[in-house]
Amino acid sequence: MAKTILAVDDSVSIRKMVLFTLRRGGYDVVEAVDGQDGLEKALKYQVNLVLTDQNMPRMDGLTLIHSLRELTNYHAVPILMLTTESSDEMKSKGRAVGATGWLVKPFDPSRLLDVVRKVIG
Amino acid sequence: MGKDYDAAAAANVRSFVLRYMEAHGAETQCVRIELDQLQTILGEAVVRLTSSFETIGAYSTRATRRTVNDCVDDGETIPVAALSAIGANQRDPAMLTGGIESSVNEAITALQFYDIASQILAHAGRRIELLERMAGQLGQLPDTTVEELDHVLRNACAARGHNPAGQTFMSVGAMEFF
Repeated sequence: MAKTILAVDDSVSIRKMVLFTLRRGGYDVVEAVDGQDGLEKALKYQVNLVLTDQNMPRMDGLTLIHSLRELTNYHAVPILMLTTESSDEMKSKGRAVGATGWLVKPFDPSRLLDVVRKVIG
Repeated sequence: MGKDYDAAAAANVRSFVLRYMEAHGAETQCVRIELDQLQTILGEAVVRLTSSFETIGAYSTRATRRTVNDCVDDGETIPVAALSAIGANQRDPAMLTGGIESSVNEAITALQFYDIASQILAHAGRRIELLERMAGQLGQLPDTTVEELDHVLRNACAARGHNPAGQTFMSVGAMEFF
């Protein structure tokens, strides 16, 4: 059974590129348009990995991670940030709220799949 | 006499500042319109590119697999038509697959330009808002005090925030595990 990844990004083009890449890698993908939608989808589906952007309307990525880590069934689920943000300050905030890793855009599909496989197999 | 002279000079300066601010406002408005125009064009382009890419990407992936499978099954070389599209030096099915995969990967990386560009454009828009607010306050001189101007400047800079996209090239970003 294919593993499911929740892809959260307000950019339609990024979501499509992530979707295309992950499906090519054999994963099922649930899409969310911002952090709030991501949180609702995370409650609706139990996913194996969350891949989220940082700067989004309604709820940003750091707040989403913080909210997910408060849920019992998301304590141990890997959460990767995929964002244009690359400052050490933002990465420290990500680490503090419980992110598993930090990927700076633009992503290379092969490297993204390598990272995902490394994290969830 | 001196007081009358000062009042006239102040009126002249005020008149000049107002005209200057009008011109400044007109220019920033044009910059805003041009940024919106750029955002619209980029948005339309990326929708078309993404749609084309999805079709071509899915087709090429299926076609490559089929072609390679055919070659492997029949023990034949790749058809000439396929070679002309991919490159005649890639006669090895594995190289052909690798070439297409690599091109698809590069397209996926490049197609992320819109997300980065739109964040930079949004930040440029916030800078224009800041300029407009600063100009608006200057236009109210001499009724506005220096303290009030300073307050506007500090608040506006805080509201503008930082530019989230520091990328200057479309090279692949770094990754880090915590």
